[in-house]
Amino acid sequence: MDPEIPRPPATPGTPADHIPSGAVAAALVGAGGIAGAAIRWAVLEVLPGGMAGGDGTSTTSTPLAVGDAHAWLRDGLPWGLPWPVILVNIVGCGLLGVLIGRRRASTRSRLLLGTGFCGGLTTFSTFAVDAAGLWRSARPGVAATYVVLSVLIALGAFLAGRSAAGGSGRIP
Amino acid sequence: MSTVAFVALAGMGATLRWLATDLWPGGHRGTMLVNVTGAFLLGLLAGGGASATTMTIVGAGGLGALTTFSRFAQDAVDLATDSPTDHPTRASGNGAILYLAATLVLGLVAAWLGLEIAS
Repeated sequence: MDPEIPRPPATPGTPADHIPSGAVAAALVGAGGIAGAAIRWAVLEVLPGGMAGGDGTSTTSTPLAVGDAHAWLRDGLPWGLPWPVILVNIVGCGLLGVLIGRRRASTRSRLLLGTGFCGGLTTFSTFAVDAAGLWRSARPGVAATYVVLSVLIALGAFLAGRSAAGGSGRIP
Repeated sequence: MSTVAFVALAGMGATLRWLATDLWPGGHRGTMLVNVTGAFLLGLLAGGGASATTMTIVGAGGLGALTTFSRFAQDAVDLATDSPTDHPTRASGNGAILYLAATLVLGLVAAWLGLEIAS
């Protein structure tokens, strides 16, 4: 590259921001999603209150959120909430906020880290099934607390991350 | 073998989600679609007493990667930020609150239905 011409920052939408082709974009999203999902699985395996049955093969292990057999209730976590799921969702929302707040984040990094990694790390399906399971096992108060807390924490983490990265920390 | 299946399904889940949220013109409706669908399918798995291996590969890998909480939060903030120019008098944030409520209600009902049907 001609040293006389400074390379412009890779702002999304500018010529310097190499928009990947469909196949490359899909590969970036897929790779990031696999990494995020693997870390989420590991966190839920390791922390008490996550997925029961550490070896993944035991037939006596209880899948997360089946009826009244909640792993986190058995483990006696504070307020009876699945904190490991809350943890991965906080971290993923905060990271996505940081990525969105960085004005120079390229399209590639947003695909790999944002849509891929943060999307793979966080989960809505486990959240919804756990909340519905709590409701079904006659713990509507715990279910409501879980839902409200998860949403507030997710929005707060996203805004805090975006603010910390130089973006707006306010909604309007 | 389980690792290969986990990687394959997680990659597929994330890519499908990307198709729904970024390529499909529905935007946040795509996020809602994958989240509600994923919640229903995981409800079916969990309610049906799927094995731990299936829960790990399909549940944690495929459906966990298909659904997202981070994009859900981003969509809500974006909807609250976008002031409706065609409705200047409408209070800002209505779209965000509607989106949050719709996703939560549909997602929880879908998960509950899945658990009910399979158990």
